[in-house]
Amino acid sequence: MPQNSDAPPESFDELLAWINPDRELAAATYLDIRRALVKIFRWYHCADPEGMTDETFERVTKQVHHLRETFEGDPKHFFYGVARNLIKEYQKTVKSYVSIDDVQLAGDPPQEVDEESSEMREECLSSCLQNLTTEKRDLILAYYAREKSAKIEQRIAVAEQLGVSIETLRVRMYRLRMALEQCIERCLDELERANETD
Amino acid sequence: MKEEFPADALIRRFLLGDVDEEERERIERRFISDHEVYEKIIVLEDELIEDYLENSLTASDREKFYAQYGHTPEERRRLRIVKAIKDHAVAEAMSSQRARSAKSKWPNFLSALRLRNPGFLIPVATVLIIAFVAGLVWLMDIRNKRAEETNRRAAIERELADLNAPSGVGKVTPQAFSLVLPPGSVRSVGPENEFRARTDIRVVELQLLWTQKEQYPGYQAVLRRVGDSERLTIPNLHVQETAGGAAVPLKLPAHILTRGLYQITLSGVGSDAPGQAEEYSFRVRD
Repeated sequence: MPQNSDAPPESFDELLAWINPDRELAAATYLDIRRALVKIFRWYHCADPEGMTDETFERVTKQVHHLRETFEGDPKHFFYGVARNLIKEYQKTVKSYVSIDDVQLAGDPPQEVDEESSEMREECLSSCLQNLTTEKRDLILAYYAREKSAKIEQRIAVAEQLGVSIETLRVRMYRLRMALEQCIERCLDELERANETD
Repeated sequence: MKEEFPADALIRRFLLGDVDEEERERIERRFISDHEVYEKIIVLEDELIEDYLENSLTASDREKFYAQYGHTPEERRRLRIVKAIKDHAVAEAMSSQRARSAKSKWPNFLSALRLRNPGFLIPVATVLIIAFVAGLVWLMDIRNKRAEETNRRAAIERELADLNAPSGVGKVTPQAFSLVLPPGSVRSVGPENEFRARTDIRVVELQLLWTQKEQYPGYQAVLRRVGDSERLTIPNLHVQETAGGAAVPLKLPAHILTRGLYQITLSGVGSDAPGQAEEYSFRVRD
């Protein structure tokens, strides 16, 4: 569900219905669009990719009733169009150095993050690895166990062991690593906050 | 009809920010609307990040990559996290491999000794004792050679550190030969990157041109002769502004340079991101 949404819940239902009449497929597509939008906003170095993704959904939700009657084509293209407009607005805001209050649109200028110590990184990495199931932990360690040319053979062997193609393995590993990265980021934020209060 | 998949090379250029606005929009549109293209792009992006962290990108691609993925402090932190995951996995693999090989050797050896006829044990024991003594002598010899080698290396590294100490930078060194080196691989060595070894030259002064945008509080150089495994590390170097642009001066005692091709890897250290590196090469002729 879009966060901080001003739109009533029935609008969100309508949004899902517009994305796909099958509610299950619509929910899956909604998540796909969300992931893609976050990535696109990140490519443009937007300060708050998740917030801007929420804003995109918010804007589309507000128009969805009308869109269901008038828009022809893939709804994903419409989301992309709205996201492009948001990116242009963001870039204008950043270029003109005008401070704005609308946090969701552009966010504050990026805050300088102090470099965490390698001990903090190690601590968070170990704790987040422990949070994974043994299977997932072993998989990620096996996948990244080799570097440069040696990693290719290693990864083919891992894929064979799992009985999946190397492409499937790579996508699976991307998702797993993203989850691990997010856990480490959260852990580092917490440690940094704890250090500040000490 | 389904649109063709964008080629890997095009996606890599897209990810490095090396495509025009129209192409960028076209790929992004496919990225959001075609699940297969989405997966292909995230996988190639992952590959690119790994190539960067393994130092496998060309200098120009490294620069483009850093502009795209090291632009904000958050992005730089993300890169450090991925590097930590990779380093941790490599270290884990190495330690479990060491543990496995230590475990597996002794049981195999002992089971080989389980002979049915005890008469075999005497000659086997004799051979083992002789092998043990010979091994001991051999090990001691190796140890002595290693100690000599370590002392020689330590002396060279001390000499390098003295020559490149901040107090000595900028001082005129007598009997020195100067060479300005732009970044480049061993394949790009030409006559301008060569010098002839002469007995009157005591020190070779290199000016390693630093062409990267990013500058660092300090630099570390690793010198190696192509074909040799020995590497000499020279830490605590600093960039200076020269007539030819930013350069890191590096002094080498001439007696450590013999005929052949040399490669220097210069890396930035002490910043909040993985330091960028440049390669330099030169040739010593008789």
